Amino acid sequence: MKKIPGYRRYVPGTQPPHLHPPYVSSIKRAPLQPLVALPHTLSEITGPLFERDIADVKACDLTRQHSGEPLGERIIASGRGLDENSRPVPHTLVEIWQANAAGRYLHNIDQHHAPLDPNFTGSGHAVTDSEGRYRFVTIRPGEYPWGNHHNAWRPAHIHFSLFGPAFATRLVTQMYFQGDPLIPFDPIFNCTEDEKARNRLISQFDWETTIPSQALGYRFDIVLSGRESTPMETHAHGEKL
Amino acid sequence: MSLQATTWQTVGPFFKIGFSWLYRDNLAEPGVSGERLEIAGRILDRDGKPVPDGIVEIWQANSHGKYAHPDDPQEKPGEFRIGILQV
Repeated sequence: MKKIPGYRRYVPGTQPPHLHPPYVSSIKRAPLQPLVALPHTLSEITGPLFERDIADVKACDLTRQHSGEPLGERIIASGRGLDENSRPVPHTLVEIWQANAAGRYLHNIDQHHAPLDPNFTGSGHAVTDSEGRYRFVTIRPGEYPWGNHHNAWRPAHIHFSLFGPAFATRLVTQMYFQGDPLIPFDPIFNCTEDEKARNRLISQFDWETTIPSQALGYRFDIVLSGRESTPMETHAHGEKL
Repeated sequence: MSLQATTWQTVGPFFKIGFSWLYRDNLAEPGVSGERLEIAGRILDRDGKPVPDGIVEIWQANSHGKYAHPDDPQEKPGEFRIGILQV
């Protein structure tokens, strides 16, 4: 018998509900019945691990993926991946994707009347170091209109995806910018009940990572689920109870 | 010190920009042991309309029931590919 701890469940109110009518896409896609939380088994406490060498070292600088420099304000987006027990999440894959400085995505569904930038793809990835740190060089994404409601505009944001050590720790989120006037009106940002949890999605301007004459630094730490203190049990042959 | 997990936000309709480099639709490449399965399906909304901007990720054990992960305590043969699929 070997005991393996599962991962903690989210604190109620700190995550967006599946149904949030102001975010119109959720109406037809949210489950009708409440979800049933199943115990974590080996399938959830394990997950894909990516070797450091999966990441292209150039993929963390979105301003140098083409022959010229993209238009827009250069920024450094950096931070740490941590778990709820304040331990770093080392060697995990962090992916980002975003609009260009004009607020346009390089994607065939985005036909918004704003120019594409031939020098900007808008995606990058990196693997956290042994202390959970990541760092991207990119440009500040533009705000853009969307069809959710009349005169709807998304605040500037960068999408983030992290895997963490287990399938149960998978997280996809968005990083916002301090002082963005559109944040209070954004149904995606505001669908989470807990105000402090929402506000942790807003990155902080950071002198320490700001490079003189080059780029402003923004700090965004990301917390993944931590281990539960009560272990789950497995039989000697690994069959889950 | 105890922290609270970061809030999820939608992947949005444009995730393909970020994720496409990880797409794999065949986890059972030559040399992987076990019976071959093909799994296919559709993602629909409540009106039965296709969801064209959904993302599916899968994760599984190998044919011996062993996961490619150090937290799997089972003493079973391990031979793996990265078991992740995004469509």
